[in-house]
Amino acid sequence: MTCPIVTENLRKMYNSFVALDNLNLKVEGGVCLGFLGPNGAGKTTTIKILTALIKPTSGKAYLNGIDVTSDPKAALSDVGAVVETPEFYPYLTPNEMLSYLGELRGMSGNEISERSMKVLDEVKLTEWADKPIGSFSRGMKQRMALAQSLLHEPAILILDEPTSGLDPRGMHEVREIIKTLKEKGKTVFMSSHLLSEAQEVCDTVALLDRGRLIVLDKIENLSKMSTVKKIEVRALVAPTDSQLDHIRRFTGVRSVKQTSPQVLLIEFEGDEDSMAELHNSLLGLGVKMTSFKPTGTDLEGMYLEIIAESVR
Amino acid sequence: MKSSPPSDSEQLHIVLRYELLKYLRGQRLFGILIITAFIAWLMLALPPLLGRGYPSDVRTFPSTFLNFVSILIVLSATFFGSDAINSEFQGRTGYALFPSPIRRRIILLGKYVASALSSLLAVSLYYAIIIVSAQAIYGTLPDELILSYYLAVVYMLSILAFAFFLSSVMKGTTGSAVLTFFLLMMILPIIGIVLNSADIDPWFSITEAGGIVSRIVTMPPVMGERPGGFMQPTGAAASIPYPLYIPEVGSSLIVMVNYFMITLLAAIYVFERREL
Repeated sequence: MTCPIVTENLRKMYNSFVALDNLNLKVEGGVCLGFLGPNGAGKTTTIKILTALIKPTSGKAYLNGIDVTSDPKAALSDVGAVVETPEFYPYLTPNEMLSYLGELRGMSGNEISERSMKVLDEVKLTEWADKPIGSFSRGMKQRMALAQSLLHEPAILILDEPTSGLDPRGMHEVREIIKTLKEKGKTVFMSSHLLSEAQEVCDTVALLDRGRLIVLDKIENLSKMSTVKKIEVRALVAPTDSQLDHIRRFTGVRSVKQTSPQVLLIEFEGDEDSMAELHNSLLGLGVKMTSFKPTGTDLEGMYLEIIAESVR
Repeated sequence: MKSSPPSDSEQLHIVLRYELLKYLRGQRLFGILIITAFIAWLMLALPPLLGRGYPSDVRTFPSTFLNFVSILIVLSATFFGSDAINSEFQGRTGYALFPSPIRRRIILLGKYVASALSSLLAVSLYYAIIIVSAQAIYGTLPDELILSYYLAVVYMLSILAFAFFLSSVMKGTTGSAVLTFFLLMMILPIIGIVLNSADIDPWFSITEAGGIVSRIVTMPPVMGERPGGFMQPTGAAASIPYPLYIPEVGSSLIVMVNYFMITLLAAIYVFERREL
């Protein structure tokens, strides 16, 4: 069976700058892939090639087995995409904009009205359905972008930072929509700079740095790769200098930062057993802890380690 | 839901409809029609208001009007064509439209047909006013007026294609609107005058070729009796110290059709390769 999204030696150059360096990716059907990387890593470049907004310098990109560059019309027929935060014709209403894009996709009038109501409800734009988009805020336009990508119930969704510009409630709602898509067996290719978001929503992660694919694996496997954790310790009474010196000498402790008199941030390398030992050692030292919790995500630790290695 | 995208011609029709809706909602179409009607009204109302009356010759009457046709066509191209393509890039609306299953050339052609229909409406309204007025005042029409209308339509199509080409090439919408207007209204005509004064035929200039739209009525002998070429100016223009290039219908048509085809194909070529 053909993988829904495939790139083969995909390369994109802007003059002498290599934005994408022989990217080889295969995204299986029904997978939600988080496409991660620092700014300028080539995430948006990849997404733009996949959605026929730009052409690769060399290499191929396939959607459902169809070459995007040579036959974009066929390749994009079963794809919904949100690229950056798109703008919409300000003189059209969401219903009209969805009609336009639905008609271009060959949907019938009934299908368009039915689906428009559904997707506008999903992105909470129902009461704005007949108001000109010109008066919308950035967040509302982002919701509209998501609505148009879902309109035709595509098998593949390509989402470039889909929660960008949304308030926390909006971000949560969009994540819930993506989880539902995953449950429906859709293939989701989603770039994000929010690692916690990728960890929450995606089941596989591709990490890109300076145009090169550094890692592509399931999140559960990647989380195990991370051994460095940050632990935040809150104490009832500020630890003394002597206690701090002792903590710094504990096995696995890389550094200790006192972010406020009663809060310590410990960078720790070790497995869960070692972490439990650290917890007991702190109690043994007489630190009156009110909380002891790892901060950030496992993915974050892995990400920082891999990016640091890649820079070296 | 798995729908197949419609055929290219159906998609062209969809783009055309929504582009026309844009002109209606954005009041561009209304604006150009108001300008057309206002200019026609001025030309009809001013002579009697100033106590000068209309010319005695039926051929001289439309010639006053026809001088404005080229300006109207350039205005239409500026209104409808100059930002048709680059607005999708500058305004970022392309991020919503281009990932749809539609070829870019179909988007461009749909927009082009919409702009051609809108411009045609303005040009047709203007000629309708000339024809009705001439018929009402003189009871007859110069034979060449209808031919002038057909030539104006061909000129309009070529100028619009030229504007689409500029819109495909240029980044900003303001820049392309300004360039379209001044290039067609001032720069190319000035180049024509300079070449004229150097005894060089500016036959290749689209604005020179477009001169046939009014000259076909004001100087009908250029049809057949006197082919295109240099002429010593007569009448009010007699003081011009060098001969003027007078276009002939055939060569003008060839130049206009070539501009239409070359610039439209070039616009498609650039648009299909332009990156967002």
